[in-house]
Amino acid sequence: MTTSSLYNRIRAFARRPVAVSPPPPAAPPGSPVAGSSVVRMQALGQLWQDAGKTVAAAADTDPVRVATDDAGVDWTAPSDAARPLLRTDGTHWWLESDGVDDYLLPAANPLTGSPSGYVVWRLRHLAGAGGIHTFTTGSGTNHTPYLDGNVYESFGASARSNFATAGAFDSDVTYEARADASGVWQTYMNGTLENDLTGNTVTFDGDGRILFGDATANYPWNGRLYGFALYATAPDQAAARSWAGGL
Amino acid sequence: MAVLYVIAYVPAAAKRGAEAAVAPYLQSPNKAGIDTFRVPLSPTGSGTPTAYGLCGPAHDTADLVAALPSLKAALGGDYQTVPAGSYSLSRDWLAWLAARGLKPVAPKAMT
Repeated sequence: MTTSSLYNRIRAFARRPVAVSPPPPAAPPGSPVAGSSVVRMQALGQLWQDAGKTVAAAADTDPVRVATDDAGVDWTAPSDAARPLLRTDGTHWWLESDGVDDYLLPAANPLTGSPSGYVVWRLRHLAGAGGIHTFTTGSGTNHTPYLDGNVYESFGASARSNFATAGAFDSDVTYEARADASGVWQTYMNGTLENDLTGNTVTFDGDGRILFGDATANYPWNGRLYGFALYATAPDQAAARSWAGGL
Repeated sequence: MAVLYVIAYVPAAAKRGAEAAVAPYLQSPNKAGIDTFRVPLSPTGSGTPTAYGLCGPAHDTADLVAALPSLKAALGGDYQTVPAGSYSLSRDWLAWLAARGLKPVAPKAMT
């Protein structure tokens, strides 16, 4: 090999395309719910700017119309205006809503009718307005883990006034909601038990949707969502918590 | 190609016309029954909406951004654009609306 050809090979190597995206995070432990399981914002290529999924959302501030979870289920914003943004600080990736009108929803809540379920989120709730609503009921008794504008975390009761207030969390937290057929109904923040409404009858009797932000009630979501995993029954919670903490 | 937040409102009476006017500029059509100007606004934050607002992302090259001045002239209301990376809910939405005498209509109670 001549000096010239060696130089050219070194130069070509130095100019090769370098991936700038981080590798997708590991899959969560256990067996998430089939059909609508896991959204990991770092799993680029699963996020789309348009409803036809022709334009990928892969760079900071790209709007996200569709997020496809690990099971291939699309979580869709119903309009361009309702799209959250893909954001990154160079290390972590998340969806960020505007606190005004953003929301995503899948076709169906896979836990509807179930007496048990477990969800672990990695998120940051920005103070001031909005929240993440999950398992929102259409009417009647509300077995609803949700975080609203006043930063309630609430489960299994029928009115917000029944719920404890935990204060704003303007930093990243790992949040868990757990229910099972024996009547366990608990929430955890960063591994600490926050609410225990064990003894309430729990059925995921929602209106068939899981929402980030509740547009129908004008409770917009204001915060970051790094990812989440949804299970039919609680897995090894410590392992699931650890997984979410790495998102 | 940067992403901007388009922040705008139209008088309630102009809502139907506004939906038709912005539809050609959307990256994807809305789902049936979903409006672009979907946030109810009123002077007090309660009661019957007097205006409807939107806060949504658009590429700075999008026709929607270019069309905003003519849409304002035709429909009334007002608009601003904000770089997506520097958007502030309190400053760019709530304070901007307040300066125009508007507040988001308070949420309905969760049941």
